[in-house]
Amino acid sequence: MTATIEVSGATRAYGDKRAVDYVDLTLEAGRITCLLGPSGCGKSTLLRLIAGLEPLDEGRVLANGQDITHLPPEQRDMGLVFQDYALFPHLRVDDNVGFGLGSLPTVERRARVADLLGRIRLGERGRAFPGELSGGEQQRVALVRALARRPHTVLLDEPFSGLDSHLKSEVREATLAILRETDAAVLVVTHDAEEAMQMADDLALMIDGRILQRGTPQACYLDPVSLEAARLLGEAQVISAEVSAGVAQTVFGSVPAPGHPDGGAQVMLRPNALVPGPGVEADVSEARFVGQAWRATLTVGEVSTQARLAHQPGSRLSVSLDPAAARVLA
Amino acid sequence: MSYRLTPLRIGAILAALIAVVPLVAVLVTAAGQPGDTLTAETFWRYTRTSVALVLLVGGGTACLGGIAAWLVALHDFPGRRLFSWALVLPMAAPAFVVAYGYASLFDVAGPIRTAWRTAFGWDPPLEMRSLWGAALVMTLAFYPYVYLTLRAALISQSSSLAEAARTLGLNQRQTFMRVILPLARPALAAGMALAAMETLADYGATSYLTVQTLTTGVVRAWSVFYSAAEAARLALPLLATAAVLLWIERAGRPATSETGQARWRELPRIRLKGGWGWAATLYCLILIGLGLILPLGWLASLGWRADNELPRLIEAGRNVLIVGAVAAAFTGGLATLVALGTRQGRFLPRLLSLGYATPGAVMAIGLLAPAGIIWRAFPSTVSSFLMAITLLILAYASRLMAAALEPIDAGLQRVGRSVSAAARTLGETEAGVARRVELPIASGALFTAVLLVFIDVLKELPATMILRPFGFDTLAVMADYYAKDERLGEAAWPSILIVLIAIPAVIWLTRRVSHSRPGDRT
Repeated sequence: MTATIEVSGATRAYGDKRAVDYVDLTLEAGRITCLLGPSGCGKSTLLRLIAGLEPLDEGRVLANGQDITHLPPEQRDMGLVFQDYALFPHLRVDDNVGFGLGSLPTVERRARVADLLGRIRLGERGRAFPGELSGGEQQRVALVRALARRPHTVLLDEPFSGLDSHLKSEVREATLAILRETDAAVLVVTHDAEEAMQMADDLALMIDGRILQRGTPQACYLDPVSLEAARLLGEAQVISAEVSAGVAQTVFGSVPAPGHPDGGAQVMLRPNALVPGPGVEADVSEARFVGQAWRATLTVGEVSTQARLAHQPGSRLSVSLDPAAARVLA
Repeated sequence: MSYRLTPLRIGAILAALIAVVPLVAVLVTAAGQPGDTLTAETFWRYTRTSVALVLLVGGGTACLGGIAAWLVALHDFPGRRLFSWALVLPMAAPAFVVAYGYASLFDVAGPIRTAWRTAFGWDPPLEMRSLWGAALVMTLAFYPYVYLTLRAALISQSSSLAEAARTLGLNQRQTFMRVILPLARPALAAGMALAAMETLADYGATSYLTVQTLTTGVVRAWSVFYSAAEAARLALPLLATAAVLLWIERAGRPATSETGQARWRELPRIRLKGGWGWAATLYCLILIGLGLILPLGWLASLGWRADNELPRLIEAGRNVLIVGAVAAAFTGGLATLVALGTRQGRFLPRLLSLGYATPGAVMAIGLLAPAGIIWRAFPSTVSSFLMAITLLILAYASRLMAAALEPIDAGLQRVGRSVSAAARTLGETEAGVARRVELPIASGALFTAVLLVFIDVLKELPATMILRPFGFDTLAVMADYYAKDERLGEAAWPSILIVLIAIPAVIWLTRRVSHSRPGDRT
């Protein structure tokens, strides 16, 4: 069965702090939604509200139009992958995976567990205890355990945060492949922008209990609704601009600003917004190597910003502004 | 799902009621019609004696148990590993057994004073049948409570704070006085509070040593004057004190923020060289000798010379084994219900702890009134024997539920919220999660809880004396009967049997506790 999960007006407060503050969110069958936000923004609480592990103070959760707000978690048909995996330490791997399959006949249950373990290349480790597996193996077991009941919705709470960074991308790819084979509506909660953009069909940005923006990763990256939203997805610099007749003029160049009223405005620049080329002469005051690229500080007149450029500090460089990597903020 | 009244939560509340009813009943009974046997003067005399005894035993156990914990946790000396658990062994001996031993040893006609008179020509003023004697006996019997809590606090202290103090210019002694000891002070207070609770709960030792406290007064008021109201009035200050002691003991628990750190390392131990090391060894030996070996050995030698009344001994032993097993299973079950039903709440566990801090005699008095009501309502439906046994088991349960709750709660805490939540999302109900996940993981803790209750029932005297059916003896009752009859040789047999049954359990429990530390992830 497939499902569309609709969350509307979801609110959850602890004392007078609203961890989740009137949130609307829709999860579509067969699509992966990533909920991205800094730690403490309420994204894990929202996931627990959807799973039924936490009661809502206000709002509703619908599955295919049916109200499931007050349904206990065991009746929601949702799989959940916990940040700490939450494997049952007293049960062997195959009993962990088959835990929720008590209603199936033994033969069928065994077959399904074997199939799932085979898909994560742990077919031989069924009789091991969770404590004997590596972190990456535990993560995979937690994933297939959540999928074993063929839930219509799969929720993943920071599923890769416990892994070493060199393992992350590999496990992420494998997880994606397995999730793609299901028709489930998938929600991944994460604080890692790169991870969110790699995995998401739909992205939702959350700060302080509220959802700031929803859309495809590309749309969110290029058209952030605010500086906060922009910074969640990557580096962003802000410079001032003057809008007139739908064009924002900065010291580095102009950016289209359709529909913006004339007057002062702010322009958000991604690190790749300034490129060498005919344009304005900028002073390069500092240049640092920051891993995959260089970052230089460029100054024109009173205005300074940083760009992903390699150049000799103390010299001058002609740069032009790529409007595709810059946006006028509302 | 958090606030609904699930079946588990209803069960928890019902279970907790069993512990709360006697406490309320004591208050109600105390308000009953006044008798004429209890004068204000007597009341204050009992109270003064109880207070003096608690202060003496509190101070005594703090010194003896505190030094032992400090030696074992922070130093290295010959036999340290052995002593670290052997120092707990006196816990296997009820205070009344230690009292029999010392009263007889220091009797006017006993071996020590006789030898002294022969050697020096005068009688030393060493009378055990006195306040000071009772304080000494109970200090020797109860120092393990201070030892255990303080040692646990010292070995769970991470070395980083002490190391920080050293790098900030404090030497070893200053570090102990200004960092290690202040951090462990709440644990010391908690241990003293436990020892004080035991002192107040004691009936067997104090009554044998003819010291009249509130607790002996409670038993006397009931068994001599058959006045429940008077017994309850004597119990009121005991209840109030129990609440205060409980508060002290709770405040001494380590804050959760301090434990569970990833980088926990044990405090380094100082190696005691030469004579100092052997002095430490000697200290531990003397403590175990005085607390267990000397009184028990002397009793054994008395028992060897006396008749053992084997049939009666076997019957009393069988009785206490059966009642103990039933009470342990029943109490463990109730405590499990409470633990499962109150994962978020702290109120019910607090109430239960008050039951644990309350002397058994008081609990028994509290059960008399509700029992009377049931008795009058259904006069002929149950045999008086079954009724009395049921009351006895209820008394044990209401007093010991908190003791059982503690390890079970700790065991369930280890399960982790996400593991239980995972089982819910995999289709299990709350009760199903308890059955398939939480209880199997916490099964070791369950066994610990049942064992704790069993040992306490084995050693229990006052509640058993008040509530037992006519002619139903336990080992403790039998020992008390013979001892009061000045037949210590006969009293020695059940006494030694209690200790022999309790010792393996105490060893097992101690080793289990000392193997679970903040850094563990089992």
